[in-house]
Amino acid sequence: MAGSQIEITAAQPWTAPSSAALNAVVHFARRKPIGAVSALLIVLMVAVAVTGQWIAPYQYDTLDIPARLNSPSLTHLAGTDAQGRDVFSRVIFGANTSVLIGFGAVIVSTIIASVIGVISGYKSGWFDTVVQRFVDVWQAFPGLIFVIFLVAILGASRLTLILTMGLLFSAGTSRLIRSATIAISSESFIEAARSLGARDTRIWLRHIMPNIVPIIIVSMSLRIGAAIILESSLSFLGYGTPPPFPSWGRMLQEAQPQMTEHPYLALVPGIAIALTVYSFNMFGDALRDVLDPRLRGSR
Amino acid sequence: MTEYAVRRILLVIPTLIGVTIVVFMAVRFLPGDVVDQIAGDYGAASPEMRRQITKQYSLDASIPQQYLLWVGKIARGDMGTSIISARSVRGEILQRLPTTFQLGLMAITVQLLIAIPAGMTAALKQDSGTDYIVRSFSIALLAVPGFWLGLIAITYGYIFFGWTPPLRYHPFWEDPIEALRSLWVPALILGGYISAVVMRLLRSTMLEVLRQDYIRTARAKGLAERHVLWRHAARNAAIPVVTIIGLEIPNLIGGTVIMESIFSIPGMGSYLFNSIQTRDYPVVQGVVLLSALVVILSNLVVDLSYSFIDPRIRFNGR
Repeated sequence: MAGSQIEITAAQPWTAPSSAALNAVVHFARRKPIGAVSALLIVLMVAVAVTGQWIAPYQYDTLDIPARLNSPSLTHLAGTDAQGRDVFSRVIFGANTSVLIGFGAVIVSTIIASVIGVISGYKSGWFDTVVQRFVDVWQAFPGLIFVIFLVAILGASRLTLILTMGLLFSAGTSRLIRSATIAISSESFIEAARSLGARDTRIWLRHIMPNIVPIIIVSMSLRIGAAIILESSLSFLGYGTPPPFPSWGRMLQEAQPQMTEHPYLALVPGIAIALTVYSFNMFGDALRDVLDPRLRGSR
Repeated sequence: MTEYAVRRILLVIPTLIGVTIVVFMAVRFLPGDVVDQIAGDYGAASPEMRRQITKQYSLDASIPQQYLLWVGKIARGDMGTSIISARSVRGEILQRLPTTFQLGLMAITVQLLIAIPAGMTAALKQDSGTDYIVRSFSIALLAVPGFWLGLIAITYGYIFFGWTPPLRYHPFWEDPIEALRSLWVPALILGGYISAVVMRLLRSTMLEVLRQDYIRTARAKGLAERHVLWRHAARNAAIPVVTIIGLEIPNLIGGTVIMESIFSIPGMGSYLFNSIQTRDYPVVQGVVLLSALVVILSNLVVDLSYSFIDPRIRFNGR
């Protein structure tokens, strides 16, 4: 599998479309070395998440009762858990859960937030006022409680988590997009487009959206970290991804009874979460400094 | 000022109405019969229980009527009775609220104790080693999940710093020292987490304020540096910081739910958590509504407090 991937990459034309893009990447890496390292870690994490089932030494649900609670060794790099499952493999499969739900929730929230934010900011007037009161209500519920409440009603699955977390994040992001839209809507090129008879949908998609893409990208990269923490917290509390597929949060919950004698059970998934979220936050931070200096310092 | 305050307070009304509708309807949108859902596994078969639930929730009335009845009860402080314990939700909440409140206040104290010195130092020594450490540390604080730190504190707390979660939590007024001692580890974890954002924001607003003309004027007048920093700079940098502390309240509430369930602290979070698991809907409704009220109120206080921190806003309005 690994071999064929390299071939695919090598077969792609490297120079033709991307000399400008490549320059931008090199420039970014020079200006923000930590951001670039974080980006590499993110790429690695996504690669592990996608190829997990081929690169993991064991399946996530391979039980080996005689070998339960083995300390880390060459056969089990991160030891085994109380049911003799290989912790290292489960961490690899757990990356899939984190990446899928992290990206999924953020993509869902970006779509909802863009529709609400752009239309509400552009239309202004009573429409905006009414929509914003709905957003007020939406934001009044503390995030964790909002999601636990919805998951308890809808039942836990990866899809429910992606949708409820996406719904949760979209309120805050819609505010961000709305204020950016308001700022852009007073620009003369929007007025020009309108006086040429462009329809609203065309103005939203062709004139406003391209101008707020940097803001959206920065907010997405910072939200993914938050989404991964939230997913692991929910799984830890028993409201996340249902068993048997591993999630880092649930691995920590399951490790609880054996933690004192077998610290590796708690260390490995915890470090996986912290490192992943740290990479996303560092990358988002660096990206913000480069793409949108006005947002510096906010979240 | 007054006009702004009145307008801002009036804005709370539609939010309150919306929040109560959501909390009220959420239970009704559940699949299946409402009475079965409310009764759950606890005597759903008993006709007497069904009649009692139907009567208690006035389920024979129309939905808008039911809503108005329910809101009317809430407004009078009656949150119904728990299906599991048959005790009044309000009484249970009042019993647990002080513990959660104490944990939250302790976490905010920790947050300020970490964020203000760290953020100010980072701004005053911009681009120094200290600045770099503070910035990386704050992002690291955001990356480490609180429940993981909690787990580690429970397992290794005794070895590292001689702390074990207490078997019984004392109310603050009974034994203040014991009450503070029993919650300091969860408060430290929570406070550390919510301090990260404030630290970063304080640093960037301080940097901005320190470049302003009035700071140069204050220095040129020969004011002591201490005076310039605290009276002139910090006061102006405080406004966005107060905002973000207020905006972090929902995160703080979420954090207390996690901390309370890890450390088995008998507060609102663990109450909500247990009630969701046992499908005790009157309790869930009551606690979710209360948490939303706290968020709405803290947002209101943040907006209104601007005028007290920043005299410019106060004078502009008059």
